[in-house]
Amino acid sequence: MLILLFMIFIFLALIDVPWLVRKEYWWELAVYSGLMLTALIICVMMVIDAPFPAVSTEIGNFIKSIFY
Amino acid sequence: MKPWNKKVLAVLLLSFMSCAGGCWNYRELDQLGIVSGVGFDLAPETGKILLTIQVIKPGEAKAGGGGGSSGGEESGSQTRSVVVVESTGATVFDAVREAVTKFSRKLFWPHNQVLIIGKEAAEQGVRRFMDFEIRDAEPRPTAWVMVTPGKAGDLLKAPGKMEKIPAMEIAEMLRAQSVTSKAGSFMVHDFVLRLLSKTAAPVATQIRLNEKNEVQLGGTAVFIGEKLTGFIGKRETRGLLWVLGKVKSGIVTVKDPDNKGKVSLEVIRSSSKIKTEVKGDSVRIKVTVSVRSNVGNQNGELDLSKLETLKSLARREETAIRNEIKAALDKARELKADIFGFGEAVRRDHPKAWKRLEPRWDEIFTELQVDLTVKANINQVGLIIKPIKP
Amino acid sequence: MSQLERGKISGTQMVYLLVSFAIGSSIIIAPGRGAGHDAWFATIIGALESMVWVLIFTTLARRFPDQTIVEIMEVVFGPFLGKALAVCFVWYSFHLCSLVIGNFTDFFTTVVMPETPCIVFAVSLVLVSAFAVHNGLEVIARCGLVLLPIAVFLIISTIFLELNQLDLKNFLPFLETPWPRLLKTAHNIAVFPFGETVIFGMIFPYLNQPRDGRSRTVLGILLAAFILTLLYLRSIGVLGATRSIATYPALEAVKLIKVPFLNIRFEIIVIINFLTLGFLKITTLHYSTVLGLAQIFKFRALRPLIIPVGILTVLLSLINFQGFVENLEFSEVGYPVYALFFQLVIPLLTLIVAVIRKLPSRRTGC
Repeated sequence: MLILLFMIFIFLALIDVPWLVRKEYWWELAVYSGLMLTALIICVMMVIDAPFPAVSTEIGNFIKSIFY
Repeated sequence: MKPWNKKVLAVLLLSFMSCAGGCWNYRELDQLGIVSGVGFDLAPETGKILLTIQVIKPGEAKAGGGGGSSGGEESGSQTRSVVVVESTGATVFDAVREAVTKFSRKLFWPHNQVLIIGKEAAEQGVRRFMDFEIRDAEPRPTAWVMVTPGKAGDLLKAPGKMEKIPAMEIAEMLRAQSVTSKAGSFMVHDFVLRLLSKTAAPVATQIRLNEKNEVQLGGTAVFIGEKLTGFIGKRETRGLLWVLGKVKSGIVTVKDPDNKGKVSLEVIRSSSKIKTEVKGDSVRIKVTVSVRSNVGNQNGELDLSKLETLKSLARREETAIRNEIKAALDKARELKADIFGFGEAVRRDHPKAWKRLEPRWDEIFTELQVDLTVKANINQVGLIIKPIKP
Repeated sequence: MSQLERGKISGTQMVYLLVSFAIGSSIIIAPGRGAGHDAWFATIIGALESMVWVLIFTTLARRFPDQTIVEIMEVVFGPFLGKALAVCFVWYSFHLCSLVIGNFTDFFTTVVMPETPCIVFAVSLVLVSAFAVHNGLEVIARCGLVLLPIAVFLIISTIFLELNQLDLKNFLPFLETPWPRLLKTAHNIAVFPFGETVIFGMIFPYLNQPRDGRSRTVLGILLAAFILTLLYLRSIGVLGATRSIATYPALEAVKLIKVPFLNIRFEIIVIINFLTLGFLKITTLHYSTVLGLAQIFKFRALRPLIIPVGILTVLLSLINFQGFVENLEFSEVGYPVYALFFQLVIPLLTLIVAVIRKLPSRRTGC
């Protein structure tokens, strides 16, 4: 499963990275890598079944605690 | 369109197609058991839900004429192209999945038109059946709801006469009832609407197997809340349908003024208006039924070209209809069930007063003042104006 | 005017896009549940209420005709605070996108294909959306031009087919709902879907005539409100009390269509509508997230952001809720307050500060 995940990410990276390198958009490449890495980490966490906070529910609870 | 625009649309379409193809839920036709009719009963010993399902056999339903099929044990009737499956479960859905222990295909519900509930099961409460029908995405709310005094399973096992799929025949029969209007047709949706109402009593068509093992429709089953309380007969049913404005056609037979015979009047159109009046704590309901009919047939020798004759026939028709409605009212009061939806009418017209009246609606209903007005109009007399006599 | 997006769209195209955006998820998730059979009336009130904050963000947009909301914030608040607020705004666009995708997958897994895992729908949709974003704003607007008329045609046809089932008595008694609940429902509707058009603040600069932004938005909202009111009228008329217990009222309403000789499952029409309009909504949100992020980080091209944002959106859509019921609760309780912050508070604040600081310095009379 993890192998499949990495393969998918590498494939996706191959779509954009060469283009970025060719145009020498280093800043963009940095941000891109940062975002992809975040996405990768989250995906890995999902695959190994790490617990996640339910984002919108948390936001809802937060609002409830303030206003109600 | 520029070239890359075409590409965009192409990709859009392709993606939608892949989404619509069925993905994980893709099933071939020969893996589906198409349900044509379903029956709910109580299992004899355990009291669990007994589900009887009539499933179509696609190949044989298409074959013409019934020739070359299995040996003719069913004398006179066509070979059935359905299979009847029974299963039990604690809830409907449980029973549905259990069916697979006796059946090789997954049940497919969207084509189900007929829902029959047995008397015992109905007396215990029908909400759990309705829950399955509307909670699950497959069954459609346009299925007809029927109640039988016996067991629903027997009805689904009975052979059909004209069609190869008995349940579809029952549905066709129900649609055909509008020519007499002695049996109403009620969809799951209508039934659920009444279940959701605090005062209106759900009703369903009555269906039974007569002595010759034929399917017969007629009469209505009345529920209080989700439980069956009783049945009303054909005459009272038509009375109910007059008030609901659901009479599309029918024959009203009256005695002719000379008392020599009877005249049958064919109803062409009918409509009804319900007006409510609230004074303090007493409620008065005004029902106006307008009917337009033609002369269908007469037993006697009336000269129907005379205006007074027609007028007098119209008066008699009005009386006859009024009596039918009265019969329905009396039966409803006896069963303490507001099958006409008068409560809802009051709620719509007098919302403020309704808040006071609603908790006591059961008492108020039995003492309701109902003013019945029937306006009958006789239009055509057919192809002969004078009777067949010299 | 950044060179990130060179496309220009006409006012009409924006109206189409806006209407698709507004109707997009409302076809399925009908927020008018609390108002019962007065929901159609609540829709009208809600649309009017949303006009108030439409005026606010369009006024802001008109002061800075060549800049998207993100750029405006940086100008008004300075580089640090401006970027911070802009990040908030972009977060809203991103979160909203994931919510819509979540609605989409919930619907498909409940109604159409229960066994397909949600991620399949989410990924397919985002893939197509990414491709559209890659092709630019003009292409997205053109999709809207094609898809919206189809959807509207289908909607009107289903309403016509059901006219014989409409029971006018279902609308009485009028205004049976107590006023507090009616107003709260109207507010919910103002927030979702009408208030969400604040996202279009990212698109105004790319209009042929940026000054038209306000009039077009108002027109778009009115049209969308009209169509939604029609839809509510149909649902209430046909379903009656069943509407309050149905998860997807539009679907239930369409199941009742009875046309002689045709035994078609008309639900497919609702599904198609949701698919096309939902796609437009998701693409617009995806686009605004990508554009906003690109402007915050001073990118020279949009392209590298499209895929990462897409992936993150899908991931967020999966972890947003634990179950469908929480989605419902959030849309009734949390979202109306949460969204208000982005739809009203932030633009208002920006406008006030801009006025105080007398920005833009070179006023061209507005």
